[in-house]
Amino acid sequence: MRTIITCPHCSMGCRVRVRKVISRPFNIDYLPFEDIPNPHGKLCARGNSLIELLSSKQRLKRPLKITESGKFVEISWDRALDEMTLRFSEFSKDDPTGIGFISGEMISNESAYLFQKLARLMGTNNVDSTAAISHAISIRALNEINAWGMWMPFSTIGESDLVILWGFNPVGTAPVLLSWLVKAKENGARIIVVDPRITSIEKLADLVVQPLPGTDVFLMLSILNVILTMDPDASARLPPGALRLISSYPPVRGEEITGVSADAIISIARETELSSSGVLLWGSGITMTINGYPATLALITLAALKGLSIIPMGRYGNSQGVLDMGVTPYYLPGYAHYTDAEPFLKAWLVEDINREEGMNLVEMLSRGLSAFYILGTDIVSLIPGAERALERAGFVVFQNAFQGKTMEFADIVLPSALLFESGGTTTNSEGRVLWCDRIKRPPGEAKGDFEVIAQLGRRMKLPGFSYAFPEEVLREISILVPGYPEPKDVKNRPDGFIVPRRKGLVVPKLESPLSLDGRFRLLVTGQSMRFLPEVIKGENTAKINREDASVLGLKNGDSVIVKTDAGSAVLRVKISSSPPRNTLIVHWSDELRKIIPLRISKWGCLDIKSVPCVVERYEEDIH
Amino acid sequence: MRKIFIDFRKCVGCGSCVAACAREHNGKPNITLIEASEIMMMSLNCRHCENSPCMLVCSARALYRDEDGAVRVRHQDCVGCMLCEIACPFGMPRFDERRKVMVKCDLCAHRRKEGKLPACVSTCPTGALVFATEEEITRIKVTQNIAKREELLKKVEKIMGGLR
Repeated sequence: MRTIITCPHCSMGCRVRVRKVISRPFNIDYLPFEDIPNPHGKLCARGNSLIELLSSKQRLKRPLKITESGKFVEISWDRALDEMTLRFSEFSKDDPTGIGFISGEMISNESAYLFQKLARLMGTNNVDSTAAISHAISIRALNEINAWGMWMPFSTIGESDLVILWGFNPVGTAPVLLSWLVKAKENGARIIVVDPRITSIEKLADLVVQPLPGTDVFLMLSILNVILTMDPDASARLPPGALRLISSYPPVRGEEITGVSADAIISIARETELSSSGVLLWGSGITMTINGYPATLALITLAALKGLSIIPMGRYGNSQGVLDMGVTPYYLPGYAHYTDAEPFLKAWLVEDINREEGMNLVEMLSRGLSAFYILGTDIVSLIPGAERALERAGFVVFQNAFQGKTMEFADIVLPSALLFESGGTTTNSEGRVLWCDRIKRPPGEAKGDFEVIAQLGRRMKLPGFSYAFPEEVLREISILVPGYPEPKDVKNRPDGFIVPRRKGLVVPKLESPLSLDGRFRLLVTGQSMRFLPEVIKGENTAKINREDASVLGLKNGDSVIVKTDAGSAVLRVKISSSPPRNTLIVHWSDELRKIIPLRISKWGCLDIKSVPCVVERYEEDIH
Repeated sequence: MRKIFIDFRKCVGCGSCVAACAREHNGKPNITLIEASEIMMMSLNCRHCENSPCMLVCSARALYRDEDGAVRVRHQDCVGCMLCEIACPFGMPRFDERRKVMVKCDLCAHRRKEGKLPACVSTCPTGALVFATEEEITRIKVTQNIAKREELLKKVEKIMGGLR
């Protein structure tokens, strides 16, 4: 019975067995295995309501085309693909770099691989995923430092003696990780949590550090400073520029900027000094700030100096996989540079490809392209400022399993199958490739993503798109991407296959961060919390510190007006002990999306976790 | 007589149990999680009390105790008077609009029949929920405390250089 599927919601990649009644998914079983990402098959709230997705009312079932009056009409797959072929051929004849390819992070590796292959054979490197604003920054820094050898599977957490959770709250994003944390705690590990918010993970923590949002990089530099004073030999491993940078952030200066006491900074440094097998986990709390890239570099440098293992946590089920498959403008599949494209040319049966780096996600959206192909993500509700780019574009294809805000801007809407309706592999945050079985036929006329892309490729007369099964694509991937398994290595294996990463000399590196502006900051959380089951959804209020509230004269339930560079919004506030001073914690929502500016730093980091803003009391008009 | 014990020191309020319960019981959970503060969680669920007020007040005698000690509703006898909901100190039994009977936690009777643990216990990521008899719980607590005491003794020995 091939009925073991992978949960696509977070980057744990939890394994679930589906029980069928009359060959239909009926209920789920917890797997009894130890060596899978979720030990004993434990699941979180989203994983428990996994099969609800199959019968969701939001599912797209037939290809749709927009008419001139702005209504959608159902069309056949043939007509939809013909129209796409015609329009994309027109654009690619004039200037292929005018087409933007944007993928989501919940698609299978096979779909992601074919998606970038389609883009690159059409002559453009403008291919990026929504991971560009979060996980891709971690992986770029990891690649820069060559820290692949430090990357460990989740099971090392259970055996470690120090766990540092930085900018990542597993209670909200990946609750099943807590089972590994509890195991570590039972074995006597110390747990350090660095998060601007106070959350319930504090129950498990030994030391909680609450820096101001966006100041993580300064905290890391201060910790590095203390480490270098404790252990001067470590400075031999750092370049002189980095030493200069570190020496300008002594703990006293760190306290000034981050709001964390110098004692706490020293005690974190001491903990890392004492540990022999520590693990460092970080998530989007770091990468989605303006200094995301230097912060990740500093974090990996810290881990490299003290011999800690690292696990970068992605936001969705296949954040790691889409990057491995080369859905990024900077690398070919397997992080190969454009100069080493020969094996790809041979496999793709082409003479040459475009070797210039393409535009990344934010560049594509801010510059505005003439056509967009959006696969498996409701980009308008996820990326601020996507609306404007799609409005300006001449042709937009939206291919997704669910309806979404992006439909308003699409010319053609294609229904796609979910991961467990089409089959395929995903790669989780420990680099484990997991095969997801096909448990059900897709609803209506929906088709698997890889199937649609292969058909489109054939119609566009591109070489080598004759695939009928995901296994064929995975075979091609296993040849081109180093370490990736063949179908026989992952099929019928609940524990999957851990991709062996190249090991090499770790070259620590630092970059000087940008200084922050704005006194009051907006910390946006819960961006990856879609699909939360209705039964545990809470109310949506902004949280504010008691002191700030008294300065502004606010009480529970009052409204505030929040002004940023992009606009203003009215939010209800709740006084809470969770946020630090000068911070408003807000949940990601549609009203909020409109007021977040699409502003990136020179490293391509989009600021979502520390948006400068002005908060004022909102007086309702009394008529 | 096995019961679900909640270790509130481990519960972080992720809501997995609520979702699992909803899945096993036709989309409506029998557990209510309350966030008392940022870090304190409280759960309202059926405790399968020894002197169950719900069983005492039930005029139709529809509530009974099964072999594992779970208080369950015999749906064919239930008249839907909601007295049990009024009597329950946690307000747990709820009225099912469709079947017009009272529904409450049955410790996942269908799962126990297959030899499995209740869904909330098997899914809890932190292991805060334990399904065990009272004696087993006492034993677990005692071993935990002994381990803690030994650890403390070791620490003291390390600092003081031995007690003797």
